[in-house]
Amino acid sequence: MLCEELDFLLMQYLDGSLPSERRAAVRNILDSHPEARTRLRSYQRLDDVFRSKGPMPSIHWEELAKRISAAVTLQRS
Amino acid sequence: MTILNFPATSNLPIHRVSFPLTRRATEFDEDRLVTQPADATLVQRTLAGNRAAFDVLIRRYQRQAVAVSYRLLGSSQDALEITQDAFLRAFVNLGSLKKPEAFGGWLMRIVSNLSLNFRRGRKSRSQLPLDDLLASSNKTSANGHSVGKLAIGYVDPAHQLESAEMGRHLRKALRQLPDRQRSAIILFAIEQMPQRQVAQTLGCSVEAVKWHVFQGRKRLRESLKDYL
Repeated sequence: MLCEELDFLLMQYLDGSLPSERRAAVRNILDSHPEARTRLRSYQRLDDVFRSKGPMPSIHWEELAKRISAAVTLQRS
Repeated sequence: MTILNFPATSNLPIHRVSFPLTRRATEFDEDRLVTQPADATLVQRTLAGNRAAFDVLIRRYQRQAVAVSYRLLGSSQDALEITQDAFLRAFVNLGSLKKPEAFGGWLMRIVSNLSLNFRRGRKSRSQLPLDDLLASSNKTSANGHSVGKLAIGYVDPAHQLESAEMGRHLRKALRQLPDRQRSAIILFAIEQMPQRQVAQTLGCSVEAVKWHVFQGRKRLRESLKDYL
């Protein structure tokens, strides 16, 4: 199997977007091929980075909503 | 091309299967649960002249809009202005929205397009200044990126530093991606939007979203390999 095909399959496995029978097939590959497990772990670590994703700015949300609402009212008039 | 010795079984078709969409929980779900009614109802009420209905949509989607724009631009001030402009455009063009239930994806499409255009230098200013909305605890790093405090509870300073450092590496790597891949990664993998909504936002198919995310992840794994 090409690396590209395997990676595409592993990412869908990771995202939970594979149907059960295909998940089972991927599990079989993972059970029998250490390199596939290594590739999966690297994508899991990348997703961990995505989830940590760095800090978001602190914003006064209620005030922002009021400002946008006011701008919409201004636009309307 | 590298080839690994994995069984290319006939029961593993790669490209032709339609996959069920998974709905992943997001921080925005809670807002949605407590702020009924549904988007479609609010859109219809707005179109019927109920301005307060649009305010509910603003409160429902402003965090997601700011987050998406911030990830695309790396600037909180710009993200606030883009968010305001996006809501203004959404309000003005609401009558052209064919599927009121798809308001969220449609709005995020406006946010993404405005952000990407902004990046390309075609900036249009919003009507009201918004920089005072940033909490005073925000700090701006040497490279100009805003690094506000983490949102909830106590955060270990070492972890916070590590997180900020990784955030910088991630932003830098994201900037190297083509627009489509960057947007797909930000919306799906980082902001955890469902694939169908990402497809609506990007104006492409769910299969195309999977492909853009796939290509983006591959490149990012390579770019960030020293930190993974």
